[in-house]
Amino acid sequence: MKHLHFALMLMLGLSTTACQPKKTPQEKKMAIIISTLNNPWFVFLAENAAAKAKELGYEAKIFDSQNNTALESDHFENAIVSGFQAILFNPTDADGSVANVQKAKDAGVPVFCMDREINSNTVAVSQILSDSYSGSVAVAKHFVQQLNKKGTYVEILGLVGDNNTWARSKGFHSVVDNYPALKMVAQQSADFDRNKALEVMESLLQAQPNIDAVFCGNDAMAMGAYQALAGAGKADKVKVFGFDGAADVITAIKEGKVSATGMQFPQVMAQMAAVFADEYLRGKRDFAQKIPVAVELVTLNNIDDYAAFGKK
Amino acid sequence: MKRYRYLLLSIAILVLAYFSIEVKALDEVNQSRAATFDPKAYARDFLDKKLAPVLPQAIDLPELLSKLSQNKDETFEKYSHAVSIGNLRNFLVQGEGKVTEIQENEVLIALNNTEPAQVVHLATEFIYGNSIRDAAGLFDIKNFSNSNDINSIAAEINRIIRSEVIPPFRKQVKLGDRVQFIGALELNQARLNVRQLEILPIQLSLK
Repeated sequence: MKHLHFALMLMLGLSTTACQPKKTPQEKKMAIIISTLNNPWFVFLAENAAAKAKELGYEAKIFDSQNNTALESDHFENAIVSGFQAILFNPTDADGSVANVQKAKDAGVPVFCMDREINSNTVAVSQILSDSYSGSVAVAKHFVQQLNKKGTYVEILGLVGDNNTWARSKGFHSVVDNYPALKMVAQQSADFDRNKALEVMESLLQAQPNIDAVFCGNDAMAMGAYQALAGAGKADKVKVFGFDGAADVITAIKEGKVSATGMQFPQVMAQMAAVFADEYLRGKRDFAQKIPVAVELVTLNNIDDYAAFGKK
Repeated sequence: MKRYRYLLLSIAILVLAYFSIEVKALDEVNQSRAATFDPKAYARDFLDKKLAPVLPQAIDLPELLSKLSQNKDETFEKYSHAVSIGNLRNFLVQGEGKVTEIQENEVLIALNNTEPAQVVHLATEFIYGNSIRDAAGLFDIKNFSNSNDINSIAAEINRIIRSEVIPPFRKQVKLGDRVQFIGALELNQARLNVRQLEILPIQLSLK
């Protein structure tokens, strides 16, 4: 009986140990969990975070959430169980991702948000975010000037659950709505996805064939919208505005296909997140909860000063 | 009897489904997240009690331009402010000059004490962004955890300037007038361009 007890205790002990995150001093690794790698902008963000983590002496592994909060949840569990010491995180959903970050916090794994915000100020150690609102204010000012304060336009929104979607939309409207002769005739989401934006724009053009402009919540959607406009023979008549500073839009601005974009600096955000995580693991605890990173307006007038993703 | 049971069950499911689904417009979803913070009151208080007392300390614009040409980074370090990390920085500046052109969206001024006279664009229409909020370095982001509040304050400050400072100035200003201004100037530290300076006014007076 005693042997049975001992065996049971041993098995219980082993199984409990197996469920604990593996934390050995020699293992230094950071998990980089990204909303989607189906967009070059996020690939760049992920690769820069991984590169900085490696430079700081950590093993780095990138996880693709495929814009799916459930998959993101699996990645968090995997990262916690596998003994990653910190998570550099680009959330899929401002509300839906909070529980995942909480899970990591409960397991003692610090999380640093990059580019996208979560709707909690207490679970992530710090959130390093593009100043999407102010960037869109700058794009909107250019939009109003280009349209000479009048005309009709459509807005293509990003993921409805992402705060950046609304920050960009609100920033844009905080300017454009002051001009009553500028009329928004449709507003629809295309989930930050180029193909969806192409479909949305094709559909919108059926109902609104005479628009003057389209404002898109990111560059992938701007390229999708441009593709639809080109297919309908309207590319020269409709001005396209994007947000991100992606490579194809930088080229499109040079070629006069896209009017403007808001240049984000993913490298700054990714590197800062990795540095913060390293500092946290070394004992620092005083981090600002929200750190906005400035977004710069890029137009044909200053395009030579910029390269994709703010690299120049 | 079975029929009634199915009927009751169907009604119960329909009632449950009705009360468990709520259809909202996309922008309503966002508005519902708005907090109870009052940006109008904060902006008014910020302009009147925090910014107004430090306006006389604004750096003279010709002096700033001279310092920038001598040592750009040191000048940015000493005189510029921004809540965001990055290249866009804001200066609280003052100056005086002669009106050379009145356009729909701005008034052009030939700045005193610059040789040849530097023309600055005094914005009278597109007063947006964080420049006025951030220029004096008095706005502390650590006091705010909600991004909406931070943005709403800038929007409200700009609205006050557009509705209270600009209309009386636009009504009176004529070509050749002498103008004194205190305002905010945004410059890009990495891509510095001082050829076309745009000032967002905070205080304007005609002489």
